Amino acid sequence: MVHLVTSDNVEFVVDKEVVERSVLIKNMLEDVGETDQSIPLANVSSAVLRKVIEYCEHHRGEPLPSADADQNQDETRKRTTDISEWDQKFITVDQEMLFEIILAANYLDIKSLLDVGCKTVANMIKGKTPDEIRRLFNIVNDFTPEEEAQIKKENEWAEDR
Amino acid sequence: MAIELFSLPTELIWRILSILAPRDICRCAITCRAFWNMIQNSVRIQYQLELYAQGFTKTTTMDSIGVSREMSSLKRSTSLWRSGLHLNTVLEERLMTSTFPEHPSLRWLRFGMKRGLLWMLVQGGLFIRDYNTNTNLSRTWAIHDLSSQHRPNFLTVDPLQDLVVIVSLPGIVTVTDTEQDYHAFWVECRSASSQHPHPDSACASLECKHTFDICGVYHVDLIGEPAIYGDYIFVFYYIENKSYKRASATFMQAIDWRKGYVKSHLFPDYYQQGSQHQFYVVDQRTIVVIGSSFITVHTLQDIDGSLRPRLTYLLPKCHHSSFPFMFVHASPSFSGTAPHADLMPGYVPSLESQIVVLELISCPRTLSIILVIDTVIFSGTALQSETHVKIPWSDWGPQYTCCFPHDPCYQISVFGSKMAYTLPRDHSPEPGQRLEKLSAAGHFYIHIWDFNKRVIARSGNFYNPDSPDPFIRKPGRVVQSCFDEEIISNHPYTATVCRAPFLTRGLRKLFLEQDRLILTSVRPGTVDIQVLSPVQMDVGSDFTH
Repeated sequence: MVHLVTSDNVEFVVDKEVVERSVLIKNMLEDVGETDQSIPLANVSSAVLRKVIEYCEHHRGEPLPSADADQNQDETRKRTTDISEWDQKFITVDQEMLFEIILAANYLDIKSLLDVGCKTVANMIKGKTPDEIRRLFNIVNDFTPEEEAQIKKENEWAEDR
Repeated sequence: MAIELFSLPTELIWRILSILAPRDICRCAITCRAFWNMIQNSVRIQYQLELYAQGFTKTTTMDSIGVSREMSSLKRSTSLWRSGLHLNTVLEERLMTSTFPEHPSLRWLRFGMKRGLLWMLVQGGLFIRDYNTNTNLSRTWAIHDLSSQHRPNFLTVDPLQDLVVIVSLPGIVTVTDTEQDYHAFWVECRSASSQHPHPDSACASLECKHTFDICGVYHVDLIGEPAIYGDYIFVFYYIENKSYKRASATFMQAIDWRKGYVKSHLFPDYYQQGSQHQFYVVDQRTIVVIGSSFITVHTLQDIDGSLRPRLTYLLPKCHHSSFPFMFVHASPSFSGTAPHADLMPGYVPSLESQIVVLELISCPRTLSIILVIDTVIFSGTALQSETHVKIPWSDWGPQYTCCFPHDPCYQISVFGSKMAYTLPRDHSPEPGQRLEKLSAAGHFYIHIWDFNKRVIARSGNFYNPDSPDPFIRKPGRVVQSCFDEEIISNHPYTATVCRAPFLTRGLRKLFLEQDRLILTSVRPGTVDIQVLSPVQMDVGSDFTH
């Protein structure tokens, strides 16, 4: 069992096999060896870690992606929309939680969860107009009207692609 | 502070963007300064966008060093073909063709070019010339050495796959039993380097059979050249019952030459008028048929392998008296497995923004035009529709084509979004302007027209925000053409002109590639080949601004 302490000082006790989906923790455990000491995760809150552990529990036993799979950017591109049913349900959270999960997955180095998060954001953007994207993420249009016209012009070529 | 999109580190936002299509990336760039900056600052994303805009998609994976290297070479070659083109002859070569005995059935002059590999069938000799710097696959053979089992009638080469395809037709087939299949033709796959049967091909000679519905004597002939797309060879042919002159039909056989699998497809009735059709193979399941009044996109079905018409783009009606001949110019396909790793291009032309140039040669020749068609019309969701959709010219023509007056003596070569064009003058024609024909004793100039919409948008010259499609410069000028309907001739896009004149005498064909242009001149007994490369100028910061 591994003890994890979140930024808000909540302790989680998790199976080693589950938590080793995180490359960060896996490496840490390899470095320190068997220990009862808890691992502090200063960047992750308890609410987020609960979700992350839920994800790791569900995917327990699945093979970890190899290091060079990361190189294969094109493969990722092709699989844009295919998020498994369970993952899709799992990631149906509010935006703040979604970004928190992405940040935690990045920090803890859980590639498959990071992929699910990034694909979810990409799917949210897909097919939306610039205005809809602004509304979606509360983005303020900070271009001057001249700049906007220029940038629009330079980026409209892709519209019928 | 609440966590929002821009709380994510830039690397993660890049990661999200890299899964998006170019259209969505560009839409994000319009939303705000932060997003725009991130998109501008990622070499990988810029590279993807540029490839898409030029009509290519990346197929190989690369590390970031590879991406920046490719990006700079892409930038360089784009700008090379643009600002005030200077061409440098990097290689000149004269091939003696008279040494080969003429072949009785393969006498036609044929040319093709793929990835620096030029092949030519001239007077009984087959020449493969390698103009890459790293490999040397140049070969010359006498066609007689092919010692085909059957009398060869057609020959085509995919130099990238080291493949020579020989088609032999019996010509006349006498059908006495409709229960039985008859040989329509034979297809042989040879290796270009050894002349032996290609090591990857399923069998030395594939028998392509045809089932005839009615007994009788049939005439079988090919339409155009067989097309090679990776593992597939597409052979288009028609059969005609000699006893009933009118009973003819057009077919296609799709041959998986590596597996030896052959499947025959019938084109619908309205192609029966014979061989006045052009075929353009988009990929192994999308086949475009171009006729005098229509462009039809067919797809091969997954389940039963049947060929279905999906979309028809109607062309304007032609004057009765000036029925045009058509030629299709498109980038060669780069799919397939190359025998040498360094021959594999890092990119392949894709559907995204390539162009297909339809050359319509009319009699009288003063009505000839070229139509530059955006291949975006051959992709997309409409191809999935269950019913055959017909789209009138007014709904697609003005938006997805550009029209220019043409003369049959001007040569055309298409690569990605660019088109090389030989014209008698060293300045771009005005919209609708007809130039004189090339004189045999005179000179020509090479024009490179680029239909890359990203470049056009940047150049600023053609943008009109008030027009419904801001990238088509209007008004053009009405040009006289073989069509009944008025056709607007646009201004050539981002034209670049090589000001050094070239001799017209013997000019046969030119081939445009990513970073070179190859000219061939044919004279009795010889073929002259000139490999030209744009002179490297100061690249400057033209790209990002």
